[in-house]
Amino acid sequence: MVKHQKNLPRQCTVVGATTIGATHIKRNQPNQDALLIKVLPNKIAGVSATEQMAKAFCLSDGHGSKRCFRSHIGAQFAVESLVEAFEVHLAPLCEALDALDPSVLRTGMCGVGKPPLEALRPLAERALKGWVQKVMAHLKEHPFQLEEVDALDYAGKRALGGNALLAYGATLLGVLIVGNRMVGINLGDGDLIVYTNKSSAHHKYEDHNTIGDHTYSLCTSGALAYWYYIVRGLEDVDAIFAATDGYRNSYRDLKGFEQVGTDIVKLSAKKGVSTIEENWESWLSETSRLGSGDDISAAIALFTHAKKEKKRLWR
Amino acid sequence: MRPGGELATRPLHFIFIADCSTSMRNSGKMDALNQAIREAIPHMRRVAEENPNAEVLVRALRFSSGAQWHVEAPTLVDDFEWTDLESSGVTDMGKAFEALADVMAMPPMSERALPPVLVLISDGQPTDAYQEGLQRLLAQPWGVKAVKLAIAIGRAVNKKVLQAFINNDQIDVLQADNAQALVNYIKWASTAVLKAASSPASQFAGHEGTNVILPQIPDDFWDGTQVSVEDVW
Repeated sequence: MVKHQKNLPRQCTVVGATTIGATHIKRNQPNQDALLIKVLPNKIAGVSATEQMAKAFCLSDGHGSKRCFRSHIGAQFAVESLVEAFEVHLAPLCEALDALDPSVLRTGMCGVGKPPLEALRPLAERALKGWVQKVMAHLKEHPFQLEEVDALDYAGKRALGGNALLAYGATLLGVLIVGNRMVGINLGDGDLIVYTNKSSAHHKYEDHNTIGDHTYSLCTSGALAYWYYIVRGLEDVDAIFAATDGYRNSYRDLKGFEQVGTDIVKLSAKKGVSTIEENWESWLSETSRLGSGDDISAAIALFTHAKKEKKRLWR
Repeated sequence: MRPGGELATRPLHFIFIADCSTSMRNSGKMDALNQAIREAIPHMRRVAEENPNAEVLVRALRFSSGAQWHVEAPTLVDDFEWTDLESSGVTDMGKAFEALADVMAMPPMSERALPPVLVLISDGQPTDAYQEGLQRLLAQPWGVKAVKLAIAIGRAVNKKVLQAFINNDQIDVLQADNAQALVNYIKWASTAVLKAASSPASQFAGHEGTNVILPQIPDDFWDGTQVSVEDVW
């Protein structure tokens, strides 16, 4: 007879990868996406070691257009800035999260009214400011070159003259998991989906401006107003899935795309998380090749119950 | 074992919108248009093959007295065959805009589509109240984001209307004064522009219009063109 210890804490494993799309290979352009996964030490006293860990994963999609000729650099700065913002604001975020009822889902826009978590707005501001600072420092070290600017039309040159950030334009999507709570932030056309045992919920901001590969961006004026956030407990969550738009655009319909997370939860339950880790990058590559042809970055946080080592009883 | 549902390339709708009014019968304009589209098809197929992540779907809309679909179902470019248009009637361009507005709505368009390419060819002035149809078209998000080109055949065209359809001050009306020019412009629209639309980059929201960067018309565009006075429309 085998016994398993009940009510073991759930383990959270984050699997992520990024793959360059066929379109950029053909154009001799770099991968415009960036991905960063990090464990953040949580220095709150009086808490056990495991609960002190917070996990963050962030993705960014550089626009890759002629006007955004350094967007692959902008994407890298974006993920670094959001992770840094999570680190700096971790303590006040944890305090605020602890005060919330984990069974209640909270969503909204950072720039509109008062978010339910006071700590969210300064977090977003810190990330945005951090990105701008990194971009301006890079620009100072590496001024625009003639060959970069010459490729632009007149309108493009004028636009760049008015806002140098355009050259680094990128989206940003990040998830912070701490204890049994999560915070998600989504600026742009990336996808953030939370899977429970009952359903899945898709979290992003869209309006009539965001079709045809148009997206809200770190480089646009008033970007903060378009930061979508989600705060919720994780008791009933099986997985949190985040991806740049190249992934969703590779499926015939939204249902087919949302099925990705459902299939992964089932597969990891059946064959273990290691199966996901081993195959993740090749799945992304195949999806891009047969679908959108775009760069794809995706990460999934899987929540599984830890199993006590089986003890075989001899009778 | 790959997770998720069915994978698919992204649809790219290419629509010819052709003036079939009686005046197109004159000076071989209708024959030239039919020939130009027929000659463009193999080039479109080559572009589609070179851009395998775009599913190029072609249609054609004709307008004269009213507007009717000449090829109504979005047709894979490999299966697209051209049946000659014939000319008769007035120039109900507004009706054509209304028909376009219907197909640019969501649905049937989907969010994951690539920016459509709409190519309007006309030799005259609208004879209906075109403004309402044009407003309806430009009220559709895809109507705004589509790459819209207009080719003016001859000099009797109301270019202001065509420019209003293009709705982009970076793109001019293309002036075709002879059959060869029409062939060249149709080929350019259905190859270079199609190629650009097949793999557009993202664009920050708030930037009006399409995110497709149109290729420049190359310097050798008119090489080999020999036109005599009699050929000019």
